[in-house]
Amino acid sequence: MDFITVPDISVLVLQLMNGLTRAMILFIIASGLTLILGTCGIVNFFHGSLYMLGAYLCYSLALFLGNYWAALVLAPIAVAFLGGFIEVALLRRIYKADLLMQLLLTFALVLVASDVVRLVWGPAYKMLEAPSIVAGSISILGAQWPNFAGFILGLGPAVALGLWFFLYKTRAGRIVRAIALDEEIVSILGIDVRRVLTLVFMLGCLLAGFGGALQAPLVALNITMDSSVIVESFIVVVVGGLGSIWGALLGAVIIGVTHSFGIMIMPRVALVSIFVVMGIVLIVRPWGLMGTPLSKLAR
Amino acid sequence: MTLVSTRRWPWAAAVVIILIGLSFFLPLFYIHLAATMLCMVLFAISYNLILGYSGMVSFGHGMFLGIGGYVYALLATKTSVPMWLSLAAAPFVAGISAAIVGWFCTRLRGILFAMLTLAFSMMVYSLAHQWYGFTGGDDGIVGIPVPKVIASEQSYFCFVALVTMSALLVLLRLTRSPFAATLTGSRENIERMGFIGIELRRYEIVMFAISGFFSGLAGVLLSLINRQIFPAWMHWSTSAEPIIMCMLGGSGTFFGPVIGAVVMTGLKYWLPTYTIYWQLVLGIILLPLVLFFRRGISGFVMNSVMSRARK
Repeated sequence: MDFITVPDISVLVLQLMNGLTRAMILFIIASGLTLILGTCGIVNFFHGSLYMLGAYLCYSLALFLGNYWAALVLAPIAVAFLGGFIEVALLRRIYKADLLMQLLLTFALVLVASDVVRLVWGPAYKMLEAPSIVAGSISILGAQWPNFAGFILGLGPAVALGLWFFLYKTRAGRIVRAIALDEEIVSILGIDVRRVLTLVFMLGCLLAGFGGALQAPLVALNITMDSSVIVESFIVVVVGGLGSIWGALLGAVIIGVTHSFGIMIMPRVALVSIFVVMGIVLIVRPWGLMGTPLSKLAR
Repeated sequence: MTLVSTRRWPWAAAVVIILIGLSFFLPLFYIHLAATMLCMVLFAISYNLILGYSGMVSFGHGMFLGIGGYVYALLATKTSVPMWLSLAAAPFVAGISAAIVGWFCTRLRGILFAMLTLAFSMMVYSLAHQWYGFTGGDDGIVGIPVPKVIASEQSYFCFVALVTMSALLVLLRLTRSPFAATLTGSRENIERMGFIGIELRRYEIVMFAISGFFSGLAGVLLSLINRQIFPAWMHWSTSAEPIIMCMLGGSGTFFGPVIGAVVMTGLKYWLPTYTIYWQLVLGIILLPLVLFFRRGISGFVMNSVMSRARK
């Protein structure tokens, strides 16, 4: 069994932490995806490209401003406005169209975005250094672990809590949930549904861009980073349950940890492990771990 | 409607003869391109069996294309099974795999159906990608032997043209059958089909298996003309191609995907020779098609013909 390696405890801890860090970024991206899916009903294949744009914009802004934190705030906002523009110009026309139209339109946008990034930033890998305040590392059970990853680890649940508060404790959030249930009734009540949908879409895009901006100091940026993330985000959304924020958090943790332990224990099957998880969930519990069986999206 | 109600095989025979005639004049590069187009036409039409006639959106059909190609490649390189027998066996393996995958997937609808097909196809992809000892891993299998009779460009083109046109005749016959009509009914109104006592899932599994069989056949032909095969054939990006082809040509008609497959394959061959930003161009071509030609190129043509006929 030469392809199974048994590591010691510090490596295990490190791997768990890495998996969780990855999971939190994945959650932030996937929460935007699930929000757009649950409210606008759009299967947004373009989401991975928005994440990539967020990462590249953050890279350029951080170099230009000399300050990562400013870039971390500005890049997602820029991505959100781009998303808003696309929603008004293109996606709004296909809300009533079927799944295929949405796939095709957003896929066309994926192709365009991928070459635009190549045109603007070039095909070479880009590296951004971790911001200095959190550049150090702490030691957990003998494993050296970067502070920046700790920052992200705390951020994930904070975003989840924020989204939950917004959706369940504010008036605007109630309107969003009402639209997810029945658009027509909400519009009869005198609410401009189209504008709300645009804003929700922008919020989803903001989260994708935010995920990208957080990822920027962690990995080398490249022009194929959109395709792996979009597939993983969809897996997270499906495993968690379509439209469910807490489901996305749970799904992201499962997928992130599965992947990171998969790489360590059996590198050869790491790629497939997340698809196996999704396959099992879809066969045993098709509506997702935290979804509801009668959700209109699960049919 | 005369074209549909009269006998169809003379038309197919005429097309085959024209294609074979063309192959005497075309340079080698175009013969290869034309053969690839024919394979993709078969792939797109077999995909449209489940998309256009039963409304299922599979996101894993590359798996059947790859299984067909890999089964032939493995039998031809690793065993002494007669090559013609391997050629014939490969699509059946793809069809049986499709029946198994279909049994699981048809319990779901819409996006979840798509995601489960994606999961299965990526499992098979990983198997081919990682199992170096058996499938050659991501190096794929190169130098696949082919029967001597169809070894030259000219003869393999004739073979591919004959097989794809025969397959299209069978598929056309199938789509005009009561069996396909039942499935189309399911696409329109699934509850009603249940009320009149039809157990749809069985129909869907059979259609999925048939679609997998012909996708596998397309895969065998592709591996014949390229003499090599790579795991990328089973990646989800390959699975996305027939979706685009069907939508581009129009999934509402039998011949729509033909247009889509020819246009798509042509663009993918041509564009990269002009610009490295071919994805950008392809995306910009696709956008207005999605927004303004909802029923694809064939739907657009049909509409304009119809409205002219009414005047």
